[in-house]
Amino acid sequence: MNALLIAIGNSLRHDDGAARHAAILLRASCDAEVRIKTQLTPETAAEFAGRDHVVFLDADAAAAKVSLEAVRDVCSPASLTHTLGPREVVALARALYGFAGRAWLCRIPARDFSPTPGLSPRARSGAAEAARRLLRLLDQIAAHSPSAPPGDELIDSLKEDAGTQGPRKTV
Amino acid sequence: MSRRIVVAPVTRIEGHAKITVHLDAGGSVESAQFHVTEFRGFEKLCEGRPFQEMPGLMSRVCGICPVSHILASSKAGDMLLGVEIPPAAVKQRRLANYAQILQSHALSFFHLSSPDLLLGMDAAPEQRNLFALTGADREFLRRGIRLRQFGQRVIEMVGGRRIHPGWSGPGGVQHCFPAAGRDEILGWIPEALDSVSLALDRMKRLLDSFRPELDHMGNFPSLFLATVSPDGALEYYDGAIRIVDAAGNVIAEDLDPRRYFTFLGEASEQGTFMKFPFYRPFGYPQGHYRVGPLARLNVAKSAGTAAADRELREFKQRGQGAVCQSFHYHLARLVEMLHCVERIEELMADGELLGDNIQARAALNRREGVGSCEAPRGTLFHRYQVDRDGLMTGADLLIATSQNNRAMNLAVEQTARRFIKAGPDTEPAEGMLNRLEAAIRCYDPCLSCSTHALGQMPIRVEVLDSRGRLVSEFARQSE
Repeated sequence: MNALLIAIGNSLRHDDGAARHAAILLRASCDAEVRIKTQLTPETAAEFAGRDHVVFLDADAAAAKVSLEAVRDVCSPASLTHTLGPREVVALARALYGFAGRAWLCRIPARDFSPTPGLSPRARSGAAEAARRLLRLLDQIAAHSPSAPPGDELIDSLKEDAGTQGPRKTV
Repeated sequence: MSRRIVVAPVTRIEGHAKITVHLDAGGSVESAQFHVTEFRGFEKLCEGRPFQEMPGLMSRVCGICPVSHILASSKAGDMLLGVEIPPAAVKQRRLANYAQILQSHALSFFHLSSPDLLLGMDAAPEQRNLFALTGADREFLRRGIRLRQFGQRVIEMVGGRRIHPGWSGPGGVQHCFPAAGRDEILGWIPEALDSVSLALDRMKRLLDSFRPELDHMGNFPSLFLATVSPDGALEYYDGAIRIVDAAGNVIAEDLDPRRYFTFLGEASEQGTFMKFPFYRPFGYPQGHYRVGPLARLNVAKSAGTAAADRELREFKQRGQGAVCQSFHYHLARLVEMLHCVERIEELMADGELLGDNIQARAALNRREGVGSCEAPRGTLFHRYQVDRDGLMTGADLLIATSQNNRAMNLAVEQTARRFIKAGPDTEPAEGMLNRLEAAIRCYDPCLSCSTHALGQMPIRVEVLDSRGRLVSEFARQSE
């Protein structure tokens, strides 16, 4: 398994730093490469080359609970100006760098994006839960097939199983 | 009936702006304006802060050109201390500046402008973006992304991070350049040179298909201002100011950038937050001037590196005196990218870069400090006043983009006059609106340098009648 985890957010914008917090927890608990970014850029797509799995973590004001979903491959943006999301980056990676692996997005519920450091208790617990779920995801992917990306069947089962199994390591 | 066309927001630039075109009763263009709708307040925020904090603070002014701001600010701090910084610190600052110009120009050319250049000004709006290029020319786009990545990586090695590095300050820099970094940078050089050369060749071949844009999208006489070395070559970190006119005559040279406020003034006009700098001896608007890649190539006698010198000689053949077509900012940007890669390679062979004497230490010795450098978009000036304790009492930031304000307005008006075809009941074509924006994109304005903005830029195009009444408008909302 060759996985890359990308945590997105600004720790100076309060709960927007939730993914960074989860990334720090993950770095201490797994062997997968974990990178922290304030935002996604086209250059991020180049980092996908040779990866089997890419997982994005992001604070999300629209999320009611920690969720894990596959990033859709299809992307047809009307224009590219100042924003770029996981779908666009994955599309660029597939088109430019031959990325053929799976991409996931883990959303962490967040409400307060005011310009202050620190996390609300809800975002902090969400970050910890996200880290636990991603550890399970990495564990299951590795157990299913150490060298090849999992098929749709496993993806579906992982989505259903997420949160129902015990963690491989404690976060 | 006369009308007003509003393009808002202007897309694929950094910052928020709109364009207004006024038509007379017959549908002909009366005038056009470029409005910067952001407000700038950084100077006020600086007051009361210790001057030592300014470089770190100023690095945050812009996410595209933080290195320019930290260098201008550090140099103002050097002047407040009254020190000459060690050679190793100078070399580090130069290296970071070349890397920043490279990555910023790559962003402008490949990410923002190449959809217009490769897909055409009249391509459908949904096709004029980076993603469409993955189908049109994947390798071209891949090389552009890699070039920007290279520039950012060099900045990271020198300054500790790609965006908002805080390693430079009054008196020098904070840490030594890692010797191991040289091999990595040298490893990128052949690919970077190859990519820029390919883009240059491609751009030259494309020029023939943009003859109307070359001739009518910002083709006008003006002054050009830039920093040059003592022998008149391209210089981005430390030198004297030279000004040439459209015929290539030297209007002024050996001007001390630390005294910029004595020869540059700023005018204000209605409808925009951005001021209009001008060369004081000529007054406003006669003294308006252009800065940035086109100005630097017009002002410099030579590049000082082999490949860029060849390109510069060829570039100068495109004008009679100075090259006045704004569309040639794109080509000038590529020549500068080539020069930057060559300079980065030179610095890798410079032993002084690795020196461990990187700080000149002194207490406050002056009450006013001025720093300048060539930023990607043109000459940047920072001027600070401090009290006896070193607390900021005043700051003035003269941003490169603002110095092109008058030129951008002229470019928009000329473009509107040439390309807008409006009848009594017809809407302007999308390609026309795009050309208005493309005229602005030639200058690669970074309006965020003046203010901070979040999200995608909105743009408005307004059509006013002869009485100034809004007749028609087109708006694109921010996301």
